[in-house]
Amino acid sequence: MITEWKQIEAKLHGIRAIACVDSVLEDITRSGIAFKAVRLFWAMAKRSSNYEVIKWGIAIGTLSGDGEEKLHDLLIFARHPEFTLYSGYAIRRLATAMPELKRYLGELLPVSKQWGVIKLIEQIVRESDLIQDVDVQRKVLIFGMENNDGIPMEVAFTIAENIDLSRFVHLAETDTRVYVAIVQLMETLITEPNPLGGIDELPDGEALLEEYVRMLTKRPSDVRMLCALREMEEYLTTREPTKHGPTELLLQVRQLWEKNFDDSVLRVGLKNSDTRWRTLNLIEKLRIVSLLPEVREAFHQNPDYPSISVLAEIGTVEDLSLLLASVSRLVNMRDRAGKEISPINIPVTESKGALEYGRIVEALGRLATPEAIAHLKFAASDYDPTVRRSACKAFARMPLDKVDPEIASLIHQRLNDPLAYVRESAKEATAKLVL
Amino acid sequence: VLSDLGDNCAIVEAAISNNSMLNLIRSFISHAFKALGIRETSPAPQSIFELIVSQVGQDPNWQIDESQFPKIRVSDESELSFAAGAMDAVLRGLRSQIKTARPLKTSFQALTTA
Repeated sequence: MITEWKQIEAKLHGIRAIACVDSVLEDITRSGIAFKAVRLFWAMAKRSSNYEVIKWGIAIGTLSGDGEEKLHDLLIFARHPEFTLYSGYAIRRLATAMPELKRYLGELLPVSKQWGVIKLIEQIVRESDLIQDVDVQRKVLIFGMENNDGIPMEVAFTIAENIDLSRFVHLAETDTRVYVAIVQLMETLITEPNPLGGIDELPDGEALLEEYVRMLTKRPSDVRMLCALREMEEYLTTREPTKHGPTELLLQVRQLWEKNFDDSVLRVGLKNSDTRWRTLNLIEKLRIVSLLPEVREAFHQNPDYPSISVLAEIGTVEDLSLLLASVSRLVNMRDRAGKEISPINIPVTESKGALEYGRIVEALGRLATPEAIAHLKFAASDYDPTVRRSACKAFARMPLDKVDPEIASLIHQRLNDPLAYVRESAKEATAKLVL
Repeated sequence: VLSDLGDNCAIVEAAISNNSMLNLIRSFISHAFKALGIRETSPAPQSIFELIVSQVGQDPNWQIDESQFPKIRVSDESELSFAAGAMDAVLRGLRSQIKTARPLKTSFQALTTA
């Protein structure tokens, strides 16, 4: 006989909620569940330290009892992205008896981040009366784009399918916050159609693109607009080449680019922290070497990934040497030297500076000085698999006359790396260097 | 669990019966410890709910700082951590991919390699 929540916790340990919680809830709906069981599940949700067990607790522990009291706790649980999905579902279930509770889903949007905001939006769009509200739509658009923390492709299509996008594209002419969100949304629909869908999957995609370009003509020039125009140009060029030359929309996009592109726009973009990475990205893509002095300045102020990437890609030999010299500012090499090769990915929270360091390592193949090669040989056995991959990529870019037997041996070692993507990079290096 | 409580929820039992032998052993050891009167002497760890409450209490606009929470494990054998909420998204994504044969999520790759 189970009388304590810890007994349930022990029995549920290791069972992933997402795999079968829907079936369990469906079955409970048919067969019913005793109040004391619900109470124990709820106690487990609030007192456990096991993520999966808590999800079970939220799912089953909210099937009955004091709805308002549970709502308060559900709003707290929802703040952790691991539980937003379960809390959102439970709130919607409570709202079947008290529809006014649905508004809380919208109120969670500003304080939810990454998977939290994504899962919340997925819940909101299932409530037709809620998502029809223009204020909710605005929040969904703005916070869905502002708070997704680098993974807009996981939510952009959901938003586009469920809000009156045309209305917000029009609003973006004068409302800068909406403009910023719309540009990111459209950019994602155009360039990242996976995993959910892109502009081509929207029923009114073509008309939307025209409205979008029309809106851009009414905005003052800025880096976001330049990025948007470049993406549109690439998309329209590759989409369906016609016999009769570029479409009218493509010509319009090119004219807009001609009218708005200027180094001064990029200089302004570099100074704004919100657009800095976009600007650097554009400089790298378009290989605008005239702006290298400003990029160097940006790098000195903050040696972040985008500034490193520009210098790594289009910088001079002096820039590459500067990058190599900056490694000690980013990571602790002595600390790295003492660590054994990791057979798994390093958690993001424990790999501060590794992404930037990896980008520098990758550029060292282009530098190929004795010092750079010595560093590369060291990096090829770094504990972090992403750095080992960068070293393989760097080897692949090295001039053939710089490849010595030690490098060949290191690449061969990486062919047996525990991580598949490192093995793949080593394979590519082997093919390029004909080892 | 629910049958022990006197309820009749077959699906929960089915889910539990799929649990690994390891969990049965763990449960057995836990019962054996209890029978022998052995109790944990260390203080009970703070629950995740309490952690969230304390973080939100300090800052109502707080957005999760993963370093303050226990790591999210992919499996018992691995210490690999994920961004909070990503694991469910990935598992659900993989399930839907089986149905739709969509390409692997780019964000999943980013999370595992970045």
